[in-house]
Amino acid sequence: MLEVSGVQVRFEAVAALDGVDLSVPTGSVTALMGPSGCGKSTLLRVVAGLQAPDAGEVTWRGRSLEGIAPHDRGFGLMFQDFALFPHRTVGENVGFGPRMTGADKDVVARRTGEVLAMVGLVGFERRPIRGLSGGEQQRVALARALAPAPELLMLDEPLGSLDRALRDRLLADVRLLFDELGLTVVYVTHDPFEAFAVADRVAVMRDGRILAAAPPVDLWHDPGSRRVAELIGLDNVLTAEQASLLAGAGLALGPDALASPHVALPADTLRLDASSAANAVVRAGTFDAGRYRVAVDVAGIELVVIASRLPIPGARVSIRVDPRGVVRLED
Amino acid sequence: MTRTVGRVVAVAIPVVFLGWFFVYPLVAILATGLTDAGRIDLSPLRDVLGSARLRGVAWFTIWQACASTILTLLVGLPAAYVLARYEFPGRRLVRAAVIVPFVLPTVVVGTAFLALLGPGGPLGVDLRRTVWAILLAHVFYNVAVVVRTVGTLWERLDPTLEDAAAMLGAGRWRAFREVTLPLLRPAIASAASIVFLFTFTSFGVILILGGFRFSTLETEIYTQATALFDLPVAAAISLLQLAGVGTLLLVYSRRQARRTVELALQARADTARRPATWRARTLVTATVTMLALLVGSPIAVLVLRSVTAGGSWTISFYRGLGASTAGALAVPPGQAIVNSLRFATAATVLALGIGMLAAVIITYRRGRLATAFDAVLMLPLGTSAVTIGFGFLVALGRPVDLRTSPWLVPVAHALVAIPFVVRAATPVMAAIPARLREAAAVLGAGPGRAWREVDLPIATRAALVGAGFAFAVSLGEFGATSFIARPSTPTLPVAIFRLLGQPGAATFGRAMALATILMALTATAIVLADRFRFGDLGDF
Repeated sequence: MLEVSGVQVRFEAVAALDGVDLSVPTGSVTALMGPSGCGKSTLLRVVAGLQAPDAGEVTWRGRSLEGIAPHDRGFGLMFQDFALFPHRTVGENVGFGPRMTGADKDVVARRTGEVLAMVGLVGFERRPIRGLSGGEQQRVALARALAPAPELLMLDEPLGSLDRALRDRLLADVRLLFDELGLTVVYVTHDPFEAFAVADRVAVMRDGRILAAAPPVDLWHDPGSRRVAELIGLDNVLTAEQASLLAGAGLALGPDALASPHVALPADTLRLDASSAANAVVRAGTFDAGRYRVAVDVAGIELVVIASRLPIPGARVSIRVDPRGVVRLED
Repeated sequence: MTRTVGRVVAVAIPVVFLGWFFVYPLVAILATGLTDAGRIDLSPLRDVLGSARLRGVAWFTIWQACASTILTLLVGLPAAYVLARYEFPGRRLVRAAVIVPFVLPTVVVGTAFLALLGPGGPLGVDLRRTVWAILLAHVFYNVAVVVRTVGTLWERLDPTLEDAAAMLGAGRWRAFREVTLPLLRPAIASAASIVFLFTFTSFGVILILGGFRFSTLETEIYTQATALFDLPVAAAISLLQLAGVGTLLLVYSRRQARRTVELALQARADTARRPATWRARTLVTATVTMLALLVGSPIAVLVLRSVTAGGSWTISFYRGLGASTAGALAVPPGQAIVNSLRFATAATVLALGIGMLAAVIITYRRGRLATAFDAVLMLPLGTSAVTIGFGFLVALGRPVDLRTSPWLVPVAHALVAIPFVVRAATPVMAAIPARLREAAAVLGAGPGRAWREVDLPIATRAALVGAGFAFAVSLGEFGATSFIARPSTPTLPVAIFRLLGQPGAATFGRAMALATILMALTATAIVLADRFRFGDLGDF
């Protein structure tokens, strides 16, 4: 178990980490999700030992890591943009970690072949780094991080620079690999959907603090605060005032919802209905994975609704809400 | 404590080297030209400025440099255009071939043009001691500068800009003049300045092709110092030359500072297209033919004339390198090959040791001091080689008389080569991202190990690139060497020059053979250096 408690890092006047607490249970995958500049990478560097915290403590298996150099921690880190050694081949990059443990040439070579096979790059040993595609570089970087069999594996935006189709495919591969190896993983990403897809627990970060940490399902249904709801990409996050305007326009939000400072109406809790009494005007729609995300105007408030067909912009429609899906939020 | 001592020594070695072998000789030239017996004496300067002949030399220096620059642009710009914008079979080969003359020693260039345009040449003309031979050799030598500087910008310039001008009603020529030319102007100006500087200080080519009829400030320093033994006048000319070069460099760096223009640049692949029209195909064919003739014929004729005599094949010129020559050289010409290789090895070791120390200082100690250090190290590059050689001659008799030391030639060569080592190594070393060291640390390498595994191999390869250039520079160095090489240990360029000064077909043939060998050795050093390069890192 990795325990981060009260960690602070300041860069001159700016607090990059402002009292971070986080625990990562052994054998689980925790995603660290937040916008760029929120301190995710700094937190990874603190855990890796590349950045000393100004305050707070990091412990691994109950023992403090203070004063232990990065190369003595036994952790793996896959860098953003990979940081592959340009002057070495694929095999030499991957074999670097095992070689540092003082292993024999044969052992290093066997281990290199083993992890390259894990990431689907059999026979790539002698290739130069220059000339690899983005996806291949990503796999080499992953293989290099895995090769010394680290107790804790950290990945910094591992799929960040790849295009979307490739990202979706690799995401599934990566998750499968984590499960097969039973790894303890900290996975940094700015993308909520990537975090939800890959992790057992998602920690949402902003401005150097962790705002919430929970399994994906729990987080999605109960983000707790408006800021977390916005960061994980919930649709239709509204103030209490907007909620009461919607209630006035005939949307049944339920009495509890109106008592909260904020509510979120996830797009799939709203139904678009053309037949009954109209309370909304269609603005625009975009096609999204077989359905349409339609923007509608209800009492001057813009809401996003999921629909199976795209209504004509300007059409008057009826919006209904499933009160059980309404998410109550603190500020 | 030991760290501080180490640091002081690391800074002191390059500083002492530069101070002793660069600054001190320059000061000595200044003293020779402006003082007599400890008092200010401006009479040598007055003699130089008052002499109609020397004013003629200065005038010729300037106008031949202007003419060479204009001719080089006339040849280089179409070549840059065709190589940048058209995709055709053999394009990569042509691009590589255009660069070749630039890395050849000046003596080889002079000799090759003598072989092509001199007496007994295949064209049946004798342009030796005409200005045409000089101008053509200068174009041959410098066309690479224009193709590289302008061409690399041109091929990344978005061609849709010209299309846009065409859509707005501009004809092709108009579109070029109004859109492309202004965008290219900084690169053209920069290429023209460099070509002007090179031809202004041209030495070997003028000495070989101009004979006694044409002399420039550079060759005049040589003549005054080594033939007429008038050191004060030679020093005064040197000062004029230094002032001219200094002004040029100042103007150039000012221009460079202002040249940042936001350009619409594209990846190269997008801008090159196959020549589709009849006109385009003619243009490509004509340009490639012209380049092939310009670059290929002097080299080919040089090699050919080293292996033919009276219309039949022979290797007698190469065999003859082992035999002594009457009058031209104190030792058999073949000995010059051994001398050059020895000197080049010593110069490379010196340049590498000092240059890498300097590169480490510049890379790891950023700040104003490092920037100043960087600039000072580049000074020998902007100083003409003749000035350096002449400075050695007047300065290095004291405090220790080094003028008879076998180290004198390697030291001069190292001085010229250090900027190349620093330029090859510093950008590569500075570009090693800290993340690579961190990646090594996370993978289990301690700080020392990480440096050995990451920085050292990359720096070593950069050093090898620098070493290749230093070796090539030393092999071809002529300006400084002509002052300081001792008769018993001539270098290849010196031996070639001496052989060319003697009459007789056998001597001429041996000069051709030696020049061919020098060309081959230089090419080998450059090709080896190039193999150690990382992609586009490094300035050369």
